[in-house]
Amino acid sequence: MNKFKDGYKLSFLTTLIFVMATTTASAASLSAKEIMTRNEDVRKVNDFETHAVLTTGTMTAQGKPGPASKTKEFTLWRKIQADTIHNSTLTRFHEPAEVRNEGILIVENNSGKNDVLLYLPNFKKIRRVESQQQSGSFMGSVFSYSDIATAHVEDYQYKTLREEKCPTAEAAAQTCSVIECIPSNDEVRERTHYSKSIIWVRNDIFMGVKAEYYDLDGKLYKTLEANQIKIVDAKNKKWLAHSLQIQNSKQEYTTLLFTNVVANKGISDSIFTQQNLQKVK
Amino acid sequence: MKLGGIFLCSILISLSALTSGAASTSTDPNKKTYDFPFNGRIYTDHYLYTQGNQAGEFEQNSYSLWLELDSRTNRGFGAHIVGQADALPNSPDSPHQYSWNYQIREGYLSNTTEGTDLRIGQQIIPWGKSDGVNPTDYFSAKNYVVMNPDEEVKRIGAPAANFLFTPQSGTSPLSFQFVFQAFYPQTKMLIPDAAIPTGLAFSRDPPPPSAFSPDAMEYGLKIAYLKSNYDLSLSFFHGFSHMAEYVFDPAQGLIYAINPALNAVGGDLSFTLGDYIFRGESALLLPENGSDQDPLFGLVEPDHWDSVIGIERPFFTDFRIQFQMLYRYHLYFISPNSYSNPNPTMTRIQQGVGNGNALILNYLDQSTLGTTFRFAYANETSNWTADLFLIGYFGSGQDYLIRPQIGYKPIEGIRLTTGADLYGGSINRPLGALKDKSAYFLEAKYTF
Repeated sequence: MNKFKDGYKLSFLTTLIFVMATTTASAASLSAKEIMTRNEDVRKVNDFETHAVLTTGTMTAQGKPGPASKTKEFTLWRKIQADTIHNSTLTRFHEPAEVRNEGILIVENNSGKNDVLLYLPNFKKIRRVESQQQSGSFMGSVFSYSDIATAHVEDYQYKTLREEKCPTAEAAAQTCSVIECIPSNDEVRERTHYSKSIIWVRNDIFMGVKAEYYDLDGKLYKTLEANQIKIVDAKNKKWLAHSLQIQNSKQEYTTLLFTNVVANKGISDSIFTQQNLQKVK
Repeated sequence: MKLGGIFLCSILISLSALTSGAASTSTDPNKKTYDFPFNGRIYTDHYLYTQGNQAGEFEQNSYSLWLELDSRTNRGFGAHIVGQADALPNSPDSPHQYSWNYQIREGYLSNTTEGTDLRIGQQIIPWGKSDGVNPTDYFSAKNYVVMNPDEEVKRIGAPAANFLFTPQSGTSPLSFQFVFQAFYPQTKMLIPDAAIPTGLAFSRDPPPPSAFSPDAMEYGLKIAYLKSNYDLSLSFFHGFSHMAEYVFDPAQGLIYAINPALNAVGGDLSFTLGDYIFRGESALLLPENGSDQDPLFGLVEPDHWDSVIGIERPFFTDFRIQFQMLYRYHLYFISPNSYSNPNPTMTRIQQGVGNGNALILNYLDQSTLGTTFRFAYANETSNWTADLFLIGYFGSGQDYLIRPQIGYKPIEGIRLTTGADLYGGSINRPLGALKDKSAYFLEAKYTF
């Protein structure tokens, strides 16, 4: 039981993963909270499954990602719970060999404290990951467990800072609303270890394309860019960023790429249970 | 081993068949598969005595290979096999003599649906929530004769049918696990010299059990209630003690080992409260003759109640502290020294055997308090890990084991671990008696 490598932070990753294209209202006429409500709505796919590759390395002196020092591959399943707000997420790792078949189950709940369970196949046992540990590294990456979980509108208080040209190359032709997000309670602050975040939300499809995360001392800690934003549910206008790159103040970066994304497969609720988490091996 | 061979053949055949039909994607994560995955690990362990007459000599030099095959189909059928081979130029069992060990650690066929999971074949079934000491771990055994810094490597399985049922198509928090084991696995113990009466023939290992014999089969049921923020379970067991105890046969002048029958009922729970994780585990274990008040049965382990309660919390994001209290109470405790026989020699021998059992199985006192402590460092972005584990008992004397270890991963897949197993305290107690077995260790492991 000496495999103490819990550190799941994932609340933000997902925030930028989905975006919605409800363009009936102009972003300029909406409040910050309304924009973020639209943002959450366009990300709200009933369920999806994707193959994921997590690549971590150090930035070069030129500010570009250097060679990858660690690569991890996993499958991710996510489904909205019965309350239609919170998600359950399961990841199952395939590579490298040391973590093969490890599983992580994240169950979001109303209290702002997510339940995170880690299955260690070598021990055939499940470990709980406390809220403090959820701000730790997600499988050795710059992402935290709370980054990988989903951010919800009610978790933050919002303020529109400005509108400007979207900062990513992919969305350079679009206008973004720059929204400041302050955790609305201590639970969210403790889980994420962020004092605030600033998010650039596309005004056309309400999808986040960039975010800055500030540590509890108010210093810029991480920067995230979302690219390859694609519609995954055309009928309901749901979007997903297929490429996410996060960088921290130590000049480390992680890229998360999603491939083979399949939305609305009808994933069973039984997938997101402790019993299922330990069914492998 | 015969059963293991049969299962191995059927599983290899199944692997071939399943692979051809393997699906690349599925809505069920447990049916996700890759094309005929072939995994494993290669590792070498070296243990050096730290004290006693053998200080400075190697206790063990070993080289091991694990190969693992795993396959599943999109219809929920699967096969899993792990083979292990060890080359031991030097080991506690065969000092400075070459020996080999090879086994099917696990080899089973499985079928998974939304609400069920059935596995049939050789498997390791660990039960219990607490760390290091698990009163409800009825089904697996351990090999303490082959040293390894990873306690899980020491586990020994057995041919079993293991069925998990979760109502409401797998969505209910309630689950039922039924286990049938064809025979009991036997723990291989490191016997301290002090436990062996001198001048008598001594057979350390008990005879192997026969599969499907009434004298060997085991059954268990666990009813669990699992929520994401807490869980609890109740378990029942009928089988045998996997730790051998010793009896004296006056006709042959031989001390030999047996695995007494055992019934047990127990339970465990864990829950998270803020940054704290609480765990508890308890079992009432009723070995054969364990409640008999005849002093003759004071020579074997009595009925007892084992409990563990623990708390764990992280510090910052990379450190973790864990503390557990252990309590063991023997309901019908009779001191082995209360045995007497008209023949004084017999009295001395039987008392010696009884005291040996009490030392090995840790029932020297009616009640024993113990503790474990763990301090660990791990950071996913760092290649270093550190772990300090301590276990100690307080009865009529104290004894302990301290196990510090440091790990380093120079490149992906390779891990180096160094540390020590340091036994201490009274030599008349289970851990203190192993003082001369204290050793430094070094392990290099490649996982592929």
